[in-house]
Amino acid sequence: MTSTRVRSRLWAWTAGGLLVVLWAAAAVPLTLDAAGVVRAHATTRQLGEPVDAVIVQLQEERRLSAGFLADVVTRDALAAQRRRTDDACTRLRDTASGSLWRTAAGARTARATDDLVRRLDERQNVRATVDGGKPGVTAVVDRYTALVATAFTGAPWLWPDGESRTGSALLGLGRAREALSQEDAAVIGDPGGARSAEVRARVVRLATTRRVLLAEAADRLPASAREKYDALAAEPRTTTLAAWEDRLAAAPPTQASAPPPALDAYRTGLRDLEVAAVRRAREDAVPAAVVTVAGAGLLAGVGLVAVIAVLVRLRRGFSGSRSRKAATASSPPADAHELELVLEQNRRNQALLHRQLRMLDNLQRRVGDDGTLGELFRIDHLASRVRRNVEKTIALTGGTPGRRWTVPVPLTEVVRAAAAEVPGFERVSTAQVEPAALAGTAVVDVMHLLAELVENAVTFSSADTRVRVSGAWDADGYVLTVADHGPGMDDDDLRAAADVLAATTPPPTRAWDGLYATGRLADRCGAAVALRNADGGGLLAEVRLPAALLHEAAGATEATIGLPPADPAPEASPAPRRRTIPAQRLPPGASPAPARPARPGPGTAPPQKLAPGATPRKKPGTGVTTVGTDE
Amino acid sequence: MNSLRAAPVLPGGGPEDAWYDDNAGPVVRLYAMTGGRAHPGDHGFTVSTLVQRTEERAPVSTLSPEESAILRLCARALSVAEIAAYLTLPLGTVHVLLGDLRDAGLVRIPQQPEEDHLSLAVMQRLHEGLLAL
Repeated sequence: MTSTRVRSRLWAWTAGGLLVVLWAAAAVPLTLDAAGVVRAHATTRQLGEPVDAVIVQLQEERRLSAGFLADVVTRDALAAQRRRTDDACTRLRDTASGSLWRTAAGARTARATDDLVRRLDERQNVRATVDGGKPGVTAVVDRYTALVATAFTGAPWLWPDGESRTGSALLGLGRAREALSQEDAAVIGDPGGARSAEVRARVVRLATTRRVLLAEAADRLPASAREKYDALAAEPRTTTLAAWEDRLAAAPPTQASAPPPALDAYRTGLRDLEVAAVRRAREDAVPAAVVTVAGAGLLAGVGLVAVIAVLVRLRRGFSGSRSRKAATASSPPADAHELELVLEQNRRNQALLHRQLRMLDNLQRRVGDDGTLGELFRIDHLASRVRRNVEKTIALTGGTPGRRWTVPVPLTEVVRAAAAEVPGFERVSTAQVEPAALAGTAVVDVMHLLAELVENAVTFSSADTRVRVSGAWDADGYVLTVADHGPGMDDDDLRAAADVLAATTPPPTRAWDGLYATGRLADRCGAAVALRNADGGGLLAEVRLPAALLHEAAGATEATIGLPPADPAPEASPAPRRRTIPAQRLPPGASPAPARPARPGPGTAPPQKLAPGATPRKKPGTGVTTVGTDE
Repeated sequence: MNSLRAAPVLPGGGPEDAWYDDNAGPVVRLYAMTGGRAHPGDHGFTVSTLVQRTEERAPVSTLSPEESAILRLCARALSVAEIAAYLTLPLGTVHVLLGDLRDAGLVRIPQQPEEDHLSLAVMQRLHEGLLAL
């Protein structure tokens, strides 16, 4: 019969459609994973080596420059070394300008690397100082040290696993080698054998630094590298140097010190150890990467072929029963159901996190010891970052995160919370946010979209610069701005970024994921995000908040942290009004408290951060503090 | 597939996985108020140190809400414990904020009374302040 036939056909097409969705759901994340792995390899593998070479050559040039100024190194030897340094810098520039690498690493990483290459040009100025006249050895050494530091810290994305155990051990070894190299330069710059008190103090300080760094790194090294380290520590080249340093530290300042042992031997040993450890770490990482990439290729490729085959068969007409059997056999429950499961898991995770954070909060208010409080702060920061991920996932899969506000929340608080949920939040300044209150429904979305922009700014600007988040009213409403001092973006990148912000499906490369999330979150709350280069360098991300979300209200004031008003406050704190006059034109104190308690329920809601039950109050006029119980 | 849930009944707090307003917890976590710092440096504040604001005025925009709150509180000399109690902040946090304010010249430690002449009334206030933490 026709109706049965139509129904069975419909059935088969639905099953086919589901199959496509399932394949996409399985293949896309894996492919994205693979892209991420490829990108990480592209940056560390291709760029790690050239940057390391630049560091090694700069260290050697520092040593020879110090020796040259102390008349123990010839001009020719120094000139030859300078050529080697230049070669290393050229190699870094060439690698960084390779189009293949640039595509894999992402545009901003590539441009940040360009920035690093440019900063290394400073070496020409240092050389001019060395050649012209007789500058102090220490001054020259310090300028080279600053250059080396640039190479170490100017490329934070080179050490993506800096937080991992092995990653931090390798970084520690590198820094220990730098301390040794500085010591070397100090010694050669004072051919008498570290006689002056200044050099002596410097050598002792550097030796201590190196030993601390090495001890820390050794604990984190993989077993095989650890054995090498222990063997090196027992060798004469290590013990001779250590004994000389100890004698120097213990000797009275007037006594001439023994001539230093050759540091080269130990330096070579340390370098060998580092190279072996890096190679080992890389080998360990390769199998996992290969599995990820191969798995993605297999699933994406073979899966696609299979899906196409099914669809082609469907299209060609079919004998209903066989095809339906094939289709139903390979399609487990509906994708909507799976999505709901994922969402449910995330909701549960958020509930657990919520309890954890509440306990942490209580603990922090009770603990009396600053050291413990500091540890709790670090745990809290990590938990907050996890919560951000969970809430973001819930939002991006179409859910509503569990934290909700029915009343407007001061934007100052939203901005501070956003800054606090990214790594490196210590570098973010949030002081310049004009008072305004954000509709409760938009708090979580605005917070996380801002966090994406802040994290991007923190990641792509050098560690010694600050990221500023500001907010201001203008003629059309309110604009939040995230400004960094990193390299900006060229017109092509800006256009691509605008596309990603507006896209409704994830971008093909992982490098844009954060921006994609920003766009989706902005879409949820009706905000508009735009990127542009700042006039004085750096990138500006501007978030325009729709007027409907804004309320004119005091910014985060004392009332939000449970302060009893010190001055007799106006009675009413009216419900938040839509903004009619700029808040900053109000006389101070005209709106003493953000109008929070606007929700039904007995009494007024207690101020936000008060412990339930006990509210400290000040009796007006008496100046005496009593502890009352909240009604 | 629609994940929106019916709005819960207030003020009970709603379903297990949704928290409203105050139940949603502080928007700004404690660590964010001090940039993660819990050590005040070398300022030597103790719970009973009295603190008072100076005549210096900083532009309001450069102060965090907590710092403004401390300055408002410290119009008269107030002990660190009382400040912490009023603001329901950990002592460590208050120490750090006070250290910053002192560095900026916005608060000072007025002449301290003899530590061992704490009156019963002061002890009582301190006790109450601590209880409120």
